[in-house]
Amino acid sequence: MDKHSGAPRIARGLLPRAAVLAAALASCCLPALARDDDDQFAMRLADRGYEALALQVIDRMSSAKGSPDAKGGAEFARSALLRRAALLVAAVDTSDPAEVRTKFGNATRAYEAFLKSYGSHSRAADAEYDLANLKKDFAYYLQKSLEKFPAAERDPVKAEAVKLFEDAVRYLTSIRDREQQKGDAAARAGGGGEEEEEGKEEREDPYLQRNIAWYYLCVALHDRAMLHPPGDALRLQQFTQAIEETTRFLEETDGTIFGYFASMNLGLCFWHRGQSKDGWSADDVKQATEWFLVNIDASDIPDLDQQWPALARCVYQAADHWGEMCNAVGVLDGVNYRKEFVDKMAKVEAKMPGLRNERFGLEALVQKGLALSGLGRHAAAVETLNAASEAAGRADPSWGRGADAHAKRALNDVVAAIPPDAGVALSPAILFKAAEGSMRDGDFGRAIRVYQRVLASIAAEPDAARRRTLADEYDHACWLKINECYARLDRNLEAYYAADFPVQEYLRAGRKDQDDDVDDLAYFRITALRSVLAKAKPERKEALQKEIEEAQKLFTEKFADWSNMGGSTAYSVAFNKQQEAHAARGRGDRAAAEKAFAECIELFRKVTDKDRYYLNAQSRIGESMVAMGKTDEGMKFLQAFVAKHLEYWKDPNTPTRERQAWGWAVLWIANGHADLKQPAKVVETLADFERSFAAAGLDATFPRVRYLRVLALVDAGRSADAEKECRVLLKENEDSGWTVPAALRVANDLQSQGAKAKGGGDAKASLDLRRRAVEFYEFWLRRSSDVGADQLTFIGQIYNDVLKEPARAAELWTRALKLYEEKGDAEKAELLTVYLSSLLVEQGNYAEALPKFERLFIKVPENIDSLREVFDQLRRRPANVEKTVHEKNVKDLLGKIAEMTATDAAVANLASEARRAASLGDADIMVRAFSDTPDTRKGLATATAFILLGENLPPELKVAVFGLVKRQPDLMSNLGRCYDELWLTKPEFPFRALNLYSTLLDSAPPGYEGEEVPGARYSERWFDWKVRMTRLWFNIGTKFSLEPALRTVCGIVKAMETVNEYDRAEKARQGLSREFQALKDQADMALSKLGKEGCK
Amino acid sequence: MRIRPAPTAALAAALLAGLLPAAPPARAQDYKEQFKDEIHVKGAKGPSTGVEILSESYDRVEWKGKSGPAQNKTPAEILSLSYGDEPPPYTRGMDAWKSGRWSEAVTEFRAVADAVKAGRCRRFWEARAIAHAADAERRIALKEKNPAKFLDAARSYEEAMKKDPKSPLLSMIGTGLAEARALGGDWDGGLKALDELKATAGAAGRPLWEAEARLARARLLDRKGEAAASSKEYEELGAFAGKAAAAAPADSPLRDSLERMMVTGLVGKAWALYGRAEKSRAPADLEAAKQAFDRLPSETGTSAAGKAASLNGQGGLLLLQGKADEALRKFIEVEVTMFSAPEEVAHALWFKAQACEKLGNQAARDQALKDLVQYHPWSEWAARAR
Repeated sequence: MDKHSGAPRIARGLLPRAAVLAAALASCCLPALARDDDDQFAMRLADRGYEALALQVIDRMSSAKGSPDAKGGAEFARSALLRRAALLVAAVDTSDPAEVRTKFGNATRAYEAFLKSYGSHSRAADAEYDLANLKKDFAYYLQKSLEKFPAAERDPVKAEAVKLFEDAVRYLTSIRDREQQKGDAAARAGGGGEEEEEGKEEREDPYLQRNIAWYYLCVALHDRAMLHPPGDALRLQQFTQAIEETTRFLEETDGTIFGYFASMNLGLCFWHRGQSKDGWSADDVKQATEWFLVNIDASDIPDLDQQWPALARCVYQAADHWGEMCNAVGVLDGVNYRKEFVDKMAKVEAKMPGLRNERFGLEALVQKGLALSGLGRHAAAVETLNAASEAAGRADPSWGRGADAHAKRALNDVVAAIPPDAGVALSPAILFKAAEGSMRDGDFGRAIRVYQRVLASIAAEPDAARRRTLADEYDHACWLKINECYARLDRNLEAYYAADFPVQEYLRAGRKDQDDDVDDLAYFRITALRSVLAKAKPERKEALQKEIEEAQKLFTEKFADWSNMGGSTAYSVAFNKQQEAHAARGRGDRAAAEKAFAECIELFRKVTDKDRYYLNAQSRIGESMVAMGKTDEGMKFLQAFVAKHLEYWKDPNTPTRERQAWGWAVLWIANGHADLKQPAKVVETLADFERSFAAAGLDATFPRVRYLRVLALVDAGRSADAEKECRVLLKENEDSGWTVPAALRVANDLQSQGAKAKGGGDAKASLDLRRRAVEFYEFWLRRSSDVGADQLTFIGQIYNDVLKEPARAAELWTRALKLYEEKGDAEKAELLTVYLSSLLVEQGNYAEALPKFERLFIKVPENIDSLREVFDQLRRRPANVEKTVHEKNVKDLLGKIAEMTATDAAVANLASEARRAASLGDADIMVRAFSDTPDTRKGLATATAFILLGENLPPELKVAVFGLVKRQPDLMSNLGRCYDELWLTKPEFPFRALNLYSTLLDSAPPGYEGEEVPGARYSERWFDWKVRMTRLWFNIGTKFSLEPALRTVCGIVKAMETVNEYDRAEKARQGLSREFQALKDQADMALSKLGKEGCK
Repeated sequence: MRIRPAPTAALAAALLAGLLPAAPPARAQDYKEQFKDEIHVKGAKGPSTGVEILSESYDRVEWKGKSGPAQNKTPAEILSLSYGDEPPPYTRGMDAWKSGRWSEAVTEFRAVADAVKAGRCRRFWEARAIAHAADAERRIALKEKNPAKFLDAARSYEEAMKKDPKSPLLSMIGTGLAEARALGGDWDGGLKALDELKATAGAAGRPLWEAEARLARARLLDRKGEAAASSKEYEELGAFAGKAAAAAPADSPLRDSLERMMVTGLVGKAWALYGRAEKSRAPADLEAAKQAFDRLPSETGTSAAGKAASLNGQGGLLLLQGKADEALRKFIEVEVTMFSAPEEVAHALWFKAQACEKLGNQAARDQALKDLVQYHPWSEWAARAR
């Protein structure tokens, strides 16, 4: 007997609470809304993105004095919040599966803890459903994210997903069974006579919780089957199982709201069971339609949406599902499902006008729009979808935005499907909306085309006034969107043109008015080009860089004043100009630097105080002034700038980053002091810089600050502090470009200090200083990109001469020699060859070293004059030599020269001429014969020099002969040493050595007090030559018992006494003076042995 | 004794066997004047309603009111016409035709004849419906690349022309007939149809039709592989349309159409030169093509198609010279900014794919081809990309 004949059938069991629950079930996947204001409020906050606030509310609820129920409510809300967080992270494609797992785990544990502590709480049932759904959702996530897992893990993950679903199904089954028992008990307890039935409607349905659990179970069974692909046998089996369970549920709840939900679930199960790999099962689709129509036909109940809103929502939801199915199926077995759906929807719309105020009502309308489009009724489809979008825009944003997005997406699908020649005129507004739909869906390619259609539609508008209005509204908005779409697609050249076109149109039109969109587009031109540059091939980079600079210039000149976007661009343009100025300054182009600095100052002035780079721009102005040489002006500017903003910067509330401009200003004030040669002020200005500007984004300047400090300390004479500071720099900023010159500066300083120490007689300190200098030099050699051959040579000399480390010297000189050879610097290359050969000398390999030196020794005479001079001097007879003797001597010498030319391949062909000259004693013949080419001149010069240097030469002839050779002290010294050491090998060798030593000694430049110049007069090397020369005379004297030689020894040493050279020699090298004295004593003894008078 | 069947029974048997018609043959009903049309004549304040349009041909429109004598004007003097007896199949056919549902359109248009026979509308509807049906048939043939179906379509066009020799749709019929004949294998027949259309247009003072005939002729020659003749035809089209546009009233739709035709002619000529240069790679041919493309922006004024073709052509020539990087920028500019010239955009995407390939960017090449097929499926370039 129907006890509710006065009300629709659905009224049975449709208690208020059930209606609320049902609505929640139907409307979203989020947990059912709490009945407690606070936890509801917390969830609403979270929905709107205020998760932190939501947590605060929950914490307050949890900590407040209150009933256990209130605390339980807080914990439930916390669990729901965690579930929400898990669902959100799972919805993001890029989420890490590990993170998703953690979030789901957190939520699961929170629910389990809640249920354990508050098992009888009023929200316990909700928690159970949430927990079950959580398992289901995670299982779904795992299934759809299989690709994110390594191949080896996929099978276990798949198995885990299946197991989770099984768990969820079991869990819900157990809840349903439990609630069934509870319901039975309650029904038995409440069962009574007819009179009690009267009040039953007002009481809660004893099976309400069972029905909810059962419904969730049916949904879970449906969802479990959906895990498998269409056509899969297991899918069919599981759908059949879901259909059976849902049918049982329907039988129990038919005529109640749950019965309608059951019908809908049956519709879904048949629909999805009917889907195979290749198409559809007509029977299942037909059955699905019948079940959906059970709900949809409820629209015949008068005023349903007013009287029974929960059922009305169920109708809309069923319509939405059916619509989706009809659109997917199309025509099947002679039934045009789209048409069926459209016709039915027309009736529903007429009977239920409230449809446009409900989420699923609008979703159903979207399906209708798609169906209309599928039927070729494009205009009607566009109209329907536009109406759905409009209604969604007016709805509660919590669901309206989603519905709007679906409507717009569908609108764009429809618009894209309309052939261009279909004659369907679409307004810019509708097209723009459609494009937005695609954009929101991330379908940027399609969005671009629709935005372009908007623009084309505006251009096609015949009415000029309306065209202008439309253009004002949409034109630049479209270009901005097109630009954005291309940028998101990482198609940056396309993005550039999308920004460029409207900017060029603006410029072509001669407009000067403010247009924010064009300003932004002008800025986006730059960003697009930058992105192009980042991926460009190296050969394209330079051109692109120029293009960017042009774009920046255009923006700064025409748009920056109004733009909200590109303050940084105005700054960038100025900054680029400043870099250009610094570069010009660096290469010494003063005029260009000054011009560029002046321009960049103007550009920096354009950066207004609205721009976040304003303060930086101000400090850059000061920097530019200092850098361009207006030091005083720049420092004043910077000091005033600092004074003006000091209070702001010192305010503890000011973000540390804001102090960047201050730090930069301080740095350039210090630079100004450096330019003004005020090292103490530099040190003072930069004191504690690193600590003061920590976290101000100036870390990159710290090496530069230390560099400045190092230089200033050196200049202030605080070498030890400079060295200490430089060591910190090396340790902390080894790779910085500023560390290298700082190290060089310290190295030079230490080297100089070492020389002074030596001058002051403190050899130990000198050596220590130079060792430390070499440490810095070595760093500089490793790090500097522009170490030249000269520097390598210099440091090699320190190693060789001071530190006595010839191996390292040889390495450095070999590098230097290579560099000189690469540069074609023959002179320096020769020098290095000398140095390297001298190392052989140091090692005692004289015979090996000698030919290397000899090869370098003779110059290439530019003309024959120097040779003619030698032969003229040769012919000049000394007064104490007889003519015949002299002429014979000359003939002999010419003969020797002729012989030597015969052994030289370069001039051997001229040897006969040389011999003829020798036989005639006519040197002119020889000169003329060898005068033609540099090679022949050099051949004669070589023979002449080496032969004559083997003689005891009168002073004028010696001078002339030395005109034929390279008078490099190192070369001559080493050559002299070789001849000296090998003096017994050939008779001419000792004379060559003596001639070389004496020339070196006579021509040595004067030395300076306190500064050691190797080879200078009275230097250690100079005395070394002298002592060697003296010893050689002594050796000759004793070997050949030659009194004059021994007398020469006496004369040399005696002369030293008169000019007080002993002390100098001792200063140059300890014990040196005693060497001279010993030689004199030995000469004295030798003379005595010869029976001659001694030195004394 | 034999039992003779009763006449009624015999009749029933005959009916069952389909030997006799179920009803007497339908007789064509005469159309009765309804005076439900509207006509808006230039200079009139608004349209005249309740009139009966007696005839509408490409050179004359005749109508009358319920009282008073019949009037007539040239089509150029008429702003709009509206018929009160448009048969529903015709309306449905047009819907299907506009939506590209060609088969459905043919069915509906063919059903218009019944409405005419039933006297529910005037006879000219049948000719117009057949013309549109022929057009739909041609498109089906095009889709199927079926020469036999082209010839079917040609016969439909001829039928339409026969039923209404002075149809206002004559240009559509003439150009469609030419294409249908040509693609059905009868090139000469196709060109002859265009020559006839050109002559008729000239006689009727219809410069746009003449331009359309010339354009169709240039395209037909191009398809036939007669590049030089095609180029010449395009050039003549440009000259003719430019001259005719200058003579047309300012700001009139006719002038706009003729100007578009002029652009089409100039652009077509440039591409014909490009085709020759691409084949020969001779410096003179390349230079001639370059000059043609360089001139296009100034020759075609504000036309996006002219500018787009110019950029595409310049880019194409750069590609021929191996300057793919520079060429790519031109194609991208067309793709992004010249969307109101969709054929050129499709061409630019085709070129873009080639440039990307030359630059070794396979992903960009594939994307360009995908965009081409997805967003310009109707273009010949998309067909090539597929």
